[in-house]
Amino acid sequence: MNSEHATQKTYADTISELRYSGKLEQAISECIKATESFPTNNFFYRILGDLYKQIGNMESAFNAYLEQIKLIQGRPELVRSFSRFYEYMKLKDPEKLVSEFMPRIREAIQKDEISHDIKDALVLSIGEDFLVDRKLLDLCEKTNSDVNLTEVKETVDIMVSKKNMGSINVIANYRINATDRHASKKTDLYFLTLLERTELFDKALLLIEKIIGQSHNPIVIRTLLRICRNKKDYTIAEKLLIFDDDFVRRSDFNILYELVYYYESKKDEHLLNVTLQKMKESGSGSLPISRTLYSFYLRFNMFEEAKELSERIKSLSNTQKQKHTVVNDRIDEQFEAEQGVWIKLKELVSEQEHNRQMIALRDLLKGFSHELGQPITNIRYAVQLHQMKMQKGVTTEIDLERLLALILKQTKRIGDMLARFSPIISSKGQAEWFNVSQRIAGVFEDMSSRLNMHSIQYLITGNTSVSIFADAVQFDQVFYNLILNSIQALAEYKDSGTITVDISSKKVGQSHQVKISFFDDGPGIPTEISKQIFEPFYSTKDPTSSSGGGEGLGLFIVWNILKMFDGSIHVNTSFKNGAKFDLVIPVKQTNGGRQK
Amino acid sequence: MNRVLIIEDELDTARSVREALAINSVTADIAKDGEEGIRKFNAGDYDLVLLDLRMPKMDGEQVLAEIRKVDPFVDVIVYTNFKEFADIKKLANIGIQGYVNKGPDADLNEVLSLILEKLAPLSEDDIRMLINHTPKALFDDDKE
Repeated sequence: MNSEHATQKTYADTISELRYSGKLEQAISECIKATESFPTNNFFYRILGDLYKQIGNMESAFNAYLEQIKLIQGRPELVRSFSRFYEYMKLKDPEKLVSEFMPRIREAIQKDEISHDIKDALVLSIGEDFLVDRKLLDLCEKTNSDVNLTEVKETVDIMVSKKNMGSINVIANYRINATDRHASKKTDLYFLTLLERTELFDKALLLIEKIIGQSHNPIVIRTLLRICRNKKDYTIAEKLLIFDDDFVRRSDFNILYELVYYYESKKDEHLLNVTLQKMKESGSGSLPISRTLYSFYLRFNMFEEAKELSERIKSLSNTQKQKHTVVNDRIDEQFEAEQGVWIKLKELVSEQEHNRQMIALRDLLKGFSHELGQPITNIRYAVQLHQMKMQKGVTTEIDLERLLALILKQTKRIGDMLARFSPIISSKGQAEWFNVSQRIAGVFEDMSSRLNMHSIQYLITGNTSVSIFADAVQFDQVFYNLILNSIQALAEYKDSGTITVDISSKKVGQSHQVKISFFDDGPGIPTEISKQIFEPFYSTKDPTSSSGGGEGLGLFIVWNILKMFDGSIHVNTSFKNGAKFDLVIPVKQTNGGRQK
Repeated sequence: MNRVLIIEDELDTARSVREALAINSVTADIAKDGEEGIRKFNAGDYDLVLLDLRMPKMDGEQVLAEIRKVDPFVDVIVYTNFKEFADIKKLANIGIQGYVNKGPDADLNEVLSLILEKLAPLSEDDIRMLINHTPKALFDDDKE
């Protein structure tokens, strides 16, 4: 055994030396000798195959590989060399691969010369394609040119009707792997719609990845978005497309339609509105577009818009009615019914909204009266205790001093509590122009001692030149509260941390908006409470903790201030490295135009 | 000797009550949260518990449930500022002997007399009832 091993080692060394010094013919003859000496060692067959492939003798290479895969039972990972050869042949000479080589593989499988585990490994690595027959390969090749499209369609449609999914998969793979697509643009689109129709969504997405770069064809984009919507996963779309204002502006109705669903799923109210606006502009004369838009308005509770549009739909319908009197004679009734429905809906929604506000207000007052009740109780008890002692004649100077100190402490507590609300209550509304980044930096500086205490760094990135016209003190309060929350979360979570504020601005229609992302690398906010945290007196903190706060007012105040700014805030639940809040604030226009 | 346990996270409130009870010769211990309250209750022999319902970590309702497991008969008075009928009814169902409010009408004298009344071996009502049920003849002799 040992001498056998030594001989094999000598062969291997010799072959590899010859190979790397470029003496391929000699390496091959050495390798053949090795296979004759050790006919059951698959290694030399594999090297032989590689060497033949290197000199371009595919026939001999295939023979060597075939011998190899007959010998590798139990070690399926060794099919790798053959599958590389297969991929290479598919590009170089698919004709030979399918008509000469593959039948021999099939034959070997049938004769059990290739074991079952190896057959499975082949299926796994090169797909079922190795069972491809001559006719199917012809069809694959025909898909390379749009000239054959009619013929291809006919054949493929028959496959679909016979549910011959194996063959469809083969052709789909062929299209996905094709390298030259210049003459097959229409064919690729045909296959894309076919794959979507047959619900081969993963294959469709692979094809889209290949063809989307060449032409930003609206059909491709729409299909991409539609498939993502069906899969409830927009990851691939987000990889291939940039979803910004500009994208909305460039899109046609069919894409806008999908964008509505996309932005709805992302809870991006701003771009959702931009999309609906664009839809409205582009489809003002079209009845189907108006009807679709109308449904969207109802879906998003935009009743004023729905009412307005409903009237346009009526007039559009009447215009059509004159053309086709018979078909559309029910338009008036339909219009009336729809009007009734949306009036009812509007009532229901505003009632619901009103109730929600009332409940929020009641909870706020309830919580607030409890908070105030506590210091008031402390003062009253202390005073009454003092009175009791006076009646019994047991008061001392120290008792009195203690009483007075307690009253001062408790009244200060009330004052602090009111101060927390003052950003909401104060109606001074002293709006001014200020630089967003500088203002936020100022708040960070005010809190630097607390930040330093917990080794928390901060970063302000993005467009630091943006200014807005708003109440600067209220604006400070927003960041004061957000930073305070982050500090508390980070301090409990780890020894240090980073808070990042990213500022960007964008133009929406006629006005500008500032988008501020506030995030930390703390424990984050569980998705299930991401809405509740804005409710008054919702607190996850221990109110007696020394870090202060914990009355559950911070984010409620933030939310209210943003509402006053006509802006919004929400938790970005897709951010996984900590807590992330996305804020949007309009840059308010003054009458004299925007100043810097 | 009567002993009271005050379970209350507001120490200023608890201390005033404890001092007022001391003047009336009643000893009171303070537990600053629910867990400490249950621990102290299990360890000591208390006649009455004054319990704040709104506390961090473990709230008053949970504390009450734990206390009731150990002692179904101890008197419990709760602090609440829930004035709604439904809330009080809910509390009565889990077994309380009285409630007092915090806030603008908070009254230490009221708390004190409520506690003392519960601790007294016989309440004023009990005494009146006893007198009423005493055979009239006993008094008639004095009158005539």
